[in-house]
Amino acid sequence: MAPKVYVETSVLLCASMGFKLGGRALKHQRYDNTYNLLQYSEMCRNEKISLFYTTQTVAKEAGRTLESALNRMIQRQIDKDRKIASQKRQLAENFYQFLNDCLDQMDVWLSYLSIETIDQRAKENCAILLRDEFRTLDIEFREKHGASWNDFHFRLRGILGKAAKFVRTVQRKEALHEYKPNPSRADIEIMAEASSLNHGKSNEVYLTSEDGNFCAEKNRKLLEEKFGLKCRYSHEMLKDGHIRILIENAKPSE
Amino acid sequence: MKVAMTANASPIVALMRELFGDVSDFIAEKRIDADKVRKYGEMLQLLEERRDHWALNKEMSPIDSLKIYGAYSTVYNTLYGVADALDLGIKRHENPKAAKEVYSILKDAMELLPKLEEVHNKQNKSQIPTGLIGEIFDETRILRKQAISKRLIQAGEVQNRTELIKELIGEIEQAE
Repeated sequence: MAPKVYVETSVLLCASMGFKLGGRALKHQRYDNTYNLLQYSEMCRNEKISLFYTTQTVAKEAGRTLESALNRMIQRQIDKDRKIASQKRQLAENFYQFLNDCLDQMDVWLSYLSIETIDQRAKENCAILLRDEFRTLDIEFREKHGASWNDFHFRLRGILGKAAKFVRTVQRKEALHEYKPNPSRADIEIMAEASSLNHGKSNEVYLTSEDGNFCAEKNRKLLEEKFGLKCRYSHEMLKDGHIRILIENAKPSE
Repeated sequence: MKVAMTANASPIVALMRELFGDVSDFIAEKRIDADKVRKYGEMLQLLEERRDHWALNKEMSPIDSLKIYGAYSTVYNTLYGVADALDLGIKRHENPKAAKEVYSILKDAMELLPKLEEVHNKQNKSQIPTGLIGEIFDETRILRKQAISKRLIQAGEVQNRTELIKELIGEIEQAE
């Protein structure tokens, strides 16, 4: 069967910002990689190769995440309580233009991705199973790392405090590399949508994401074992021409 | 129903309907009336007040206020462009070609304004119907794209783009 690459919210969102410097690289690995990966989706569309897909929830969630981040940025400007109307107008105009630019680019990427019809019952079944599995993994994670794994408030001050924070940061990073707990409702929904489209694990299906909830070791193992979904970061998809091989394999036979 | 009445009774909505009626007349009579085109000045002034009111406004969530600001700003810029196009049409004796070109975009602006005024005039902003802001935002984006394609407005340039992107990246990564 032809391979499929599902694009997750974080990739769509990062790539929508990555372009913003007039085609120049953002010099931020994550953003440049997602941008480079989605450029292949444009190529595939032009050559009529069905490889890149996404789901309705991804499109919705990407817009929501962008708006909520922008909401916090605007709030900080509001808190400065500017009195001059022209300054306020200039800032608002700039934010509005920025929001439109990002959404316009997101629309362009979405136009290169195919959205498949989802069997709601199959999706719901996958979601139930995923919620149960993640609950078990979350409990294991808490038992192993304790409730304070994400707590960076220390009693120690000065150099000892700094050392404790450094150690906690390293431990946290290692723990998250192994497993990222508490996937959101939308994450589960996206996983369930992609999984329901690979019923019977009949396709070679990749889910590309920049989020540990999909790509941390245990998270990806769970999704691969239960649903045959191969979760990969964008840089893994680009590495050693992997995406080019998938494009070759996805080309319709003559 | 009461809300819709308030929005419909707004002077901006009434004036917008008048402007749209004028353009229909220009097309029917094959003549653009310069006196009627001058009414755009009054409309632009009203829209400017609304736009400034919603810049970094605290009455609603920052992003919702921004969407309302953007909608008023887009209507303002579009009508500014329409007035310019009609003026140019008179000077070039392109009657009613110029009026025909702005007809559909003016219709879209006229349909958007009552919704905007409904939000603006609502005393208790928490009572704004769910989905109305989203609807306004979607319609504004369509209007903006149309206005850009008809060269009535120009797509603006974002200032301090790199800094904004970096700040946004920080916000998104922090939320994960």
